[in-house]
Amino acid sequence: MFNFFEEIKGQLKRVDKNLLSSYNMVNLSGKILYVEGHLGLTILSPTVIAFKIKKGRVEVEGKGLYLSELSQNTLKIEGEIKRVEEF
Amino acid sequence: MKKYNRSHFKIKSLNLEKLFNKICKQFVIYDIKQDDNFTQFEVEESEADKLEKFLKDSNISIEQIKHYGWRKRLKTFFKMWGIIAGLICGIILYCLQYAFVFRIDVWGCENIEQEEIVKFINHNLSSNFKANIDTEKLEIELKDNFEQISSVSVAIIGQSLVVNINEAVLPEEMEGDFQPIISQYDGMITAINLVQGTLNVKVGDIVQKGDVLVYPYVSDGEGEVMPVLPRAEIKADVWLSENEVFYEYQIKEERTGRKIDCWTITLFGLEIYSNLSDNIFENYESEETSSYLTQNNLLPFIYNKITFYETKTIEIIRNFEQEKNEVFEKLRQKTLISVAENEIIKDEMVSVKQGGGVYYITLTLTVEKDIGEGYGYIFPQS
Repeated sequence: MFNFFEEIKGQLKRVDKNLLSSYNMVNLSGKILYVEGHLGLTILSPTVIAFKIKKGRVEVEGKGLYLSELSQNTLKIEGEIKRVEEF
Repeated sequence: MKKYNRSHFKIKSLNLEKLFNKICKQFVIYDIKQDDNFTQFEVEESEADKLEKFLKDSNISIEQIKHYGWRKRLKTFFKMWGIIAGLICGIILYCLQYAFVFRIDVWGCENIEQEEIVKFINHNLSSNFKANIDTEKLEIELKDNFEQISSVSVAIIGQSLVVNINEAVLPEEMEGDFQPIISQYDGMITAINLVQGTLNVKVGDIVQKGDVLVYPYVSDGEGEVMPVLPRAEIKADVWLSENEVFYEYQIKEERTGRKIDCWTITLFGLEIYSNLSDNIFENYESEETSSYLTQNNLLPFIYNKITFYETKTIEIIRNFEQEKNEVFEKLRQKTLISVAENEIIKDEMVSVKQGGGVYYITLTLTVEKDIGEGYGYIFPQS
C-alpha cells in the first residue's frame, strides 16, 4: 500500500533514517494538520491543541480548532491553523 | 457518508486530554468538539456499547448518546422479536388464507333463490382450497341442475367465488301453470269478449269477487284438454255501496278547553320528582303518556304525564228532513271514491230505514266495469 511518508523517507539519502522515526506531520493549506506518531494530548481547546511527541511537544495555535480524528497513533486537526511549533 | 453508522456522545468531564488519551488507546474518535460545558465526539457505531461501558467505568457523566445510520436501526429492529414474530406470522397467515375461498357471491338472480345457488355450490365444492376448485365443472353442474339458468360463469376473484347468472326468460306460449281469470268485483255480467280459454260465466250471471270467469285451457273436438293463457274482456254491472247512520237525538261529551297537566319523573320505579296537582274538574277525561327522558340506557329516567281535560255534556237535536240532502251528498262522495274516472254510472239508488229517531241510509251506485279484462297469470315451472 502506498504510504506518503514512507515514500518521502525512501527518497532521502543523506539523512539517517532512524532519526526520521519520531513523528510525521503534514499541514494542508493551514486548514488540516495530520500527525502520525503522537504520544498523547496535552492541551485541547478551540484555540490551542498540543500533543506530546518522542522528544518533546508540538503546539498548534489557531481559531475554531477541533480534532476531527484521534487514534492511538494518529490525529487530525481541522480549523484555521495559524502556527505549529515544536518544543 | 462517514457520518453514517456512527454514535454521537455528549459528555461532561474535566481533564479531557487525559480522558481522550485513554480512550484513543482502544477506539478511534472523530469530530471532538467542545463548548462551554460539554464535549461532543463520535465513534463507530459498532464500538458505541463498549465505549459507553468504558465511560461509565471511568465515572464520566454521559449526557446524551445518539446513533446514526442504518446499522443501529437494523439492530434495534431485530431486537423487537415480538414484532418480527407477529409480522412473520401475519405474512404466513395472509399467504395461507389467500389460498382459500371464503365467500360465494351470486349475481344476476331475479327469480332463482340466491340461497339455493349458494347451498348447491357449498354442497358440490370438495374444498375451499382455490387450487381444488374447478370453475368450469361448477358452471356445467349449475347449468344442468337449474333449468332457469340460461348461462353462467364462475370465477375466483380474490377470496370470493363469483357466480354470474343469466336467467332464462320463458315465452308466454311455453307450457306452464296458467291461472284462470278471476273476478275482481261483485256484479252482473253484461258483455263478454273471449279471446282464449274456456268461459265459466255467461251474460246475465251474477258473480262474486273471486269467482272464476275464464279457465286456462281449451278442449278440442276429441275432448283433449290443452292449457292456454286465458284472455278475455268481460264487462259487468258492479254495485258499489256505502252506509251512514243519522241520529235525530244525540248526547255527546265535549271538551271545554280547560285542562290540568300533572307529571312525574321516575328512575327504576322510584319517584324522583313530581308535579301532581288536584283535579278540580267534575266531569273530565284524562290522557296519560310515558316516555324516556334521555336517550341513553345508563340512567333510564321515565317522564310520565297525565292531562285532565274538562268535559261537558251536550245534547244534539237534528232534523233528518232538513239535513237529508247534505247526508245523501256526503254519502255519494264517499261512494264515488271507488269509481274510476272513465267508468259510467248507470244507476243510483238510496234506501233509508228508520227506527226510534235513528236513520240508516244506504247509497248504491251501479257502475259498468271490466271485471276480467286482461290475462291470467303464468306461474314459472317448478
